[in-house]
Amino acid sequence: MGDLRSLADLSDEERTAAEALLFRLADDEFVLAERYTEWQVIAPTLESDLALSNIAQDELGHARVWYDALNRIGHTEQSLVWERDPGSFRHSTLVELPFEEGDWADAIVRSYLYDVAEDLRLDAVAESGVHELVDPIEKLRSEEEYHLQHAQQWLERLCDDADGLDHVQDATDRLFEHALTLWVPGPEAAAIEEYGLRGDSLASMRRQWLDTVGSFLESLGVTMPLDPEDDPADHRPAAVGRDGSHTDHWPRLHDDLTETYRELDRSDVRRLRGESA
Amino acid sequence: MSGGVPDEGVTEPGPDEEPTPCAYTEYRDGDSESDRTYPATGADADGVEARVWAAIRDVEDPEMPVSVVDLGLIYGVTVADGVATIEMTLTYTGCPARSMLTGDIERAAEGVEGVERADIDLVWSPEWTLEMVTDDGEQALREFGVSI
Amino acid sequence: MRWEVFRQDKRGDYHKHCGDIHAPDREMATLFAQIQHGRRMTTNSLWVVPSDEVTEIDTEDTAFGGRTDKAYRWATTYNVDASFAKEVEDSEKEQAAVERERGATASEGEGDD
Repeated sequence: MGDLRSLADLSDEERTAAEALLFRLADDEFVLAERYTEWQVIAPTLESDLALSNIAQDELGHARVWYDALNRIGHTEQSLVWERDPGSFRHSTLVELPFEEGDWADAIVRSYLYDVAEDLRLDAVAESGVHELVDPIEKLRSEEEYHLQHAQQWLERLCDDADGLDHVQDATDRLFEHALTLWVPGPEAAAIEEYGLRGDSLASMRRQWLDTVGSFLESLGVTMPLDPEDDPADHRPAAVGRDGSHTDHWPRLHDDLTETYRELDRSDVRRLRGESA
Repeated sequence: MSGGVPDEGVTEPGPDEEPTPCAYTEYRDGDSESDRTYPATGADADGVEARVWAAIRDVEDPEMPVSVVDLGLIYGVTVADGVATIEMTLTYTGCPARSMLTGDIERAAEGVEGVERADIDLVWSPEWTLEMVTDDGEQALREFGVSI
Repeated sequence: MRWEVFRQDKRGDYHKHCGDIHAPDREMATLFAQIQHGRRMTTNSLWVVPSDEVTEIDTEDTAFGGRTDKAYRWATTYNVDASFAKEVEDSEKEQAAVERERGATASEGEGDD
C-alpha cells in the first residue's frame, strides 16, 4: 500500500469525484438503515429482531463514517441530511423501497443482494489511495461480518419450504431491477474511474455480483429474473437513484426522517447537553 | 531450516555473519504505521501536549468509570500554534455516545493553558481492539465488573 | 428449538450461562449467539447447547452435599487470628457460615451417608 493522500490534497476535479463516490456510499447506508429499523418489534423472531436492529445500527454507523468524510470537505449535517434536497440523494432505489407488508423475505433478499454488493464495493474503494476512503474499510468490514451470514442463512431456510420459496421468488422478482441500480454509474462515474477511486469498474463488479447472487439463489431453487445473456442495462427501473431520480417512495421517507427537525423549526442540529453542531 | 548442505550456488551465511535481508520481503523506509505503538499514553509527551494528555485522561467512557486514554481510544496528541489535534478512534462506528465523547475530549483539551482550539481527528485504523486497553484500564474494568 | 448459551470471558475461565436463544438449527443458533452475546462484551469463547441436552438436577431431586454434618472437616475451633492472610480469613468466615446453615438443616434429614 502506497502513501495515502488526504481529501484536502486532491485536485479540485479529483475531490469532486471523491465527493460523488462518498455520497453514493453514505446515502446507500443511511437510507438502508432507516428502512431496516422499520422491522423493530415485528421481525419474525426475537433473535432476528435483535440481529436486524444490530445490522441497522451498523449501517447507520457506516453512513456516519462516510458523512464524516464529507464534513471534511465542507458539508454540514444540515446540508448532508436535514436540509438537503431529497433530489440530491444518490442512493440506489433498492434501499428506499418500502417493504412489502409483513414480508420477511423482502427484508432478507434485499439484505442479501445489498451485502454481496457491499463486499465487492469496499474491496474496490480500499484501493482508492485516499485516506478518508481507506481508513475506515477494515473497521467496516469487521462490523459487516454478520450481515451476509444472517441473510444467507435465512435464505437457505426460507427456500427449504415451498411457501417460503414463493415469497423469496416474489421478493427477488420485485427487487432485482432495483438491486441492479447498485451498479448504475452516477454523473461522476467517468471521473471516479479516471482517478482510480475504485479499484474495479462498476461493470466488472456487477458481473461478479451477478455470478455470486445468481449461483447462490439458483442453488436454492430461485429463478433469476435475468438470463446470463441479458444485458443488465436493459433491466433498469424508471428511476435509478444514482442520478438523483428516485421512486415515489423516497420523498415520503425523506419527509418522515426529517419531520421532527422541520416541525420543531430547527436551524441547527442539537446534541446532548446542548452543544450545537 | 535444518543445518544440511546448502543448495548449489547458494552461500549460507555463517552463524557470526551479519543477517541478510530476506529476498521475498518488501522493506519500507520511513514512518510506517508499525513504528507507532498502541496504546498511546502520552508518557513521553512534554509541555502543552503533556497537559492535554493529562486533561484527556480525566475524560471517562460514558458507561464505565474508565479513562478514554486507558481504553486506548486516543491515538495521538499534537499541539501547534495553540491548536491541539487529537487523533482518536471509537470502539464502534455506530457508537451512540460518539458526540458526547468527542465533545468532552474537545472541551477537556480546550481547557488547557496554551490551547486555544482543539480539533478531533477521528480515525478508524488501526482498528481498535481490546489489546489496546492499558493495564490501568484493565484494572478499572475489572473493578467495575467487566473481566478482560 | 431452544439453545442455551455459555460465555467464557477469557482463556482459562469457566464458561458461564448467559442466556438462551431460539433458532431452528445449530448454524443459526451460533450466529444469533454471536450477535447477542459475543459482540458487545469481552468473549473468548461461546458454547451453544440444545436446551434438551442440558440435564438439570436441583435441591428437590437430591440434597447436595450430603445429609450428615461434616463440620468436623473444617478447623473452625482453633483460636487463630487470621488477619495476617485475607484468604484464610475469608475462607474461615465462609466455612463458619456454611456450618451454621448446615446446623440449621441437619435436623431435617439426618440419615446415612
